[in-house]
Amino acid sequence: MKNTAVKTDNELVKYIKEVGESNFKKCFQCGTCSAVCPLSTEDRPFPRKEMIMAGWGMKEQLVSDLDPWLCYYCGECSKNCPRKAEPGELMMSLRRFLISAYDWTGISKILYKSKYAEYIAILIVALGVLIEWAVLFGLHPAAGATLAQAVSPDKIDYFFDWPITAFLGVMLTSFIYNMFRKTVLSDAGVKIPLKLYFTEAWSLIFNFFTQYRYAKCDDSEESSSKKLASGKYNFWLTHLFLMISYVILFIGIVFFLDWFQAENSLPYLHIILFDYFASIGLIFGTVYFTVKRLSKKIERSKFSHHTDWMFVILLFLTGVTGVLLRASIVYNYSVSAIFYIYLAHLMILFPMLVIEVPFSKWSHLAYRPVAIYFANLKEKAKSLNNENAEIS
Amino acid sequence: MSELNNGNPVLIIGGGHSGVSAALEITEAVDKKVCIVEKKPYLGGRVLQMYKYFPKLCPPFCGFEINTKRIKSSPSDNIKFYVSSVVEEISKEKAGTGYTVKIRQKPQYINDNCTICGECVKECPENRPNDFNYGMDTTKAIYLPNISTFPLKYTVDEEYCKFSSCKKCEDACKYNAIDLNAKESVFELKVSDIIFATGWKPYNLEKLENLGYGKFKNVITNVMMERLAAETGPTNGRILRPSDGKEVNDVAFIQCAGSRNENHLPYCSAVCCMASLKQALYLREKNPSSSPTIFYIDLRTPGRYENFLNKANGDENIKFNKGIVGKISEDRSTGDLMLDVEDMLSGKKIKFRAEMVVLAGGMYPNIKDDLSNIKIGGDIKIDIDENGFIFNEDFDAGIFSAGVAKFPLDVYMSGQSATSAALSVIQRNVKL
Repeated sequence: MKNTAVKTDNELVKYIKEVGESNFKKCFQCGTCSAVCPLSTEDRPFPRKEMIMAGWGMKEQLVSDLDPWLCYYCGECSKNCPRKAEPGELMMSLRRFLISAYDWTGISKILYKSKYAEYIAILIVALGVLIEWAVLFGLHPAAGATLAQAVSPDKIDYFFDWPITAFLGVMLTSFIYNMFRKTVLSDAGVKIPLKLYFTEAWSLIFNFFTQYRYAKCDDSEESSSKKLASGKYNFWLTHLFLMISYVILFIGIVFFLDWFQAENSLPYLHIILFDYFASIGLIFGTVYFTVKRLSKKIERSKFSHHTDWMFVILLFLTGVTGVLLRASIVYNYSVSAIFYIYLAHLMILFPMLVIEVPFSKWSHLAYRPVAIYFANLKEKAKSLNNENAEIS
Repeated sequence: MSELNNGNPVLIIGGGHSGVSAALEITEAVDKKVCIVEKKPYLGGRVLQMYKYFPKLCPPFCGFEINTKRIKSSPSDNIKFYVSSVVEEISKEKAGTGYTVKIRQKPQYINDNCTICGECVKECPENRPNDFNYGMDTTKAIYLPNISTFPLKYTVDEEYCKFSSCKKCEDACKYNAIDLNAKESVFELKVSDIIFATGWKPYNLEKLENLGYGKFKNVITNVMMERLAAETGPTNGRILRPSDGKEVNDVAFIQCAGSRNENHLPYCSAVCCMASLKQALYLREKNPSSSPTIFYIDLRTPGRYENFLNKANGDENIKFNKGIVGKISEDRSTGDLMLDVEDMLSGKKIKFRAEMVVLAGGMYPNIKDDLSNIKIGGDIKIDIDENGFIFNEDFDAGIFSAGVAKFPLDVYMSGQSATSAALSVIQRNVKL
């Protein structure tokens, strides 16, 4: 081991304390948490090392650490912690810290620190939408106009859908690159062969679409069917349902907006996929997580940060106004009713997209699978290096 | 001898090492009588269940025999003791006159005629789990509690004896020592001071669900280990594991099982590190091919006890792992145990296979539960801290504590705390 002085940062300790409710300073390094963790690996177990890194404010080590993303807050660590130091919540706080560390704009940090900052940011975006809408379509529909005339789908595409897609694309890509730089490139210990990036890509896709690590939280010897029957997979499946619904709607709305503004094109696919599956997923999912967060019965829902609430609420309202909008089109409501519902929907949807996606909780949708991918890359590269070392 | 403020005796609740030590210190120093009230049918308490003391590794009955000899040779009446007895009520008449206590003594079925010939045991048809060996073997319903039993006579377990429907022991006894019709007695005593020397019991480790005690046979506690090692224990002093009686080599000692744990006992039980080091050392001696591993958070061996740690460290077959065990599972085919633990010094998570696991369980103060069974007069203040230990600060009240009733202590320190309580009693009672 190298004999280097550890750089510590007191401000960082304070920040981590602020963005969560872990008592990580109480930790006495017994190692119970790492030992009981069903997800941590043999080579680099967590969260014991994160507890001391956070306690000391070891910024360099924390920023380059992918492990907070490998943690799914099963809660075994917090349940068994003899100091009630809440290691699971610390990993949550670290994810919040990492989101703000990858974000070069500095916006995340402000949003995580202050709930008022978040409210104001959301209001500003909502107001922006209102102004943009007023400029494009006016504040009320022209008399006798059809829906397509009052709210032109093309304009929605040009002035709302595609700009936001581009914005989110640029933001997330640059943040993920930042993450790549801090966690993979900065690690002098591993050189990753180019080939691995392609051969390991499956893990990125697999984990994005299955969130399979959730299922590993319960490592008892029961069969999967028993676990399913006894509700041990409920959280995972609900989370997956919500995420898939979200992704389906996002893709649908960005690329096939016409479908939503008409009631008869591709009726079956549309009705089943969007009107039923995704709408139910979005609303059921957000209600489910709200109930969990209110009842505080399981470890991962015991503490709720203001950004957690904001994400769930905005997602729920987006879902509700979206369903209302769709219903108003399908059931031929008056154009002016649709006009205002549409406006309300966008005034909720856009703050959700602009604020939550790159700068707040939504971003875990991107960071988690990417982090698992990076971690796999590093692990594979290390074992390749070891093999080579043994051969030579 | 100096004149006394109050002619009444001192009540000592608990006849373990601390209670007996305090009784002797008082009676041998001043002209003051004491009464010991002991719940068990014998004096000596927990220390008698130990195989060896640390750090000298001597057997406890040797020290206890000196104490019983001191009791026997003290002038009659100076030390009265009531075994199988509990204090039911403590009241105060008026300030400065001491206390009145109500004591309930279980029926004394065996009188002093008993010669421990053992004829009664041969006839007794009923078995009971042997609490002295933590349930690892059984005795008859009429039994000798342990080899050092004082007062030396047999005892009847009321829960298992069939009494009038059996009476075989009464018929077998040639000395008229058994009377199964004996009745319990309730009586009052006036006392000047009270010393709580109520001691401890092992914390119920079944509450630590992740460590599997009570679920897996080969997960035992540190106090059970003492009995396994003791020649008078269930295995005649051979360290064999419970599931199949195999002589164990790979034994894992898990420190802080319950102690320093805010979900269980928030405090450090003070003795478990030394106890596990001691047990690892005698395991090495008894099973020469053994290799004990101690899983710890940090080893607490203050002062000169550090030498004892060094001694264990000097044996390369005794291994240490910084990092506490998170979970234990059982390999059903062999009865071995798989331990999930982080080896903190290498930063790796390991699966450790052990033939037997010894949990270094903590000490739970008896008084925490017992106090609710004692009716205490309204004007009597007994200070119990948040963990259930007694620590009265009001000297004038004449209520003191000694041993683990006060806080977790080892035997040596319990002796000191007993002397301290005795000195307080003397200072309060003797006119200088």
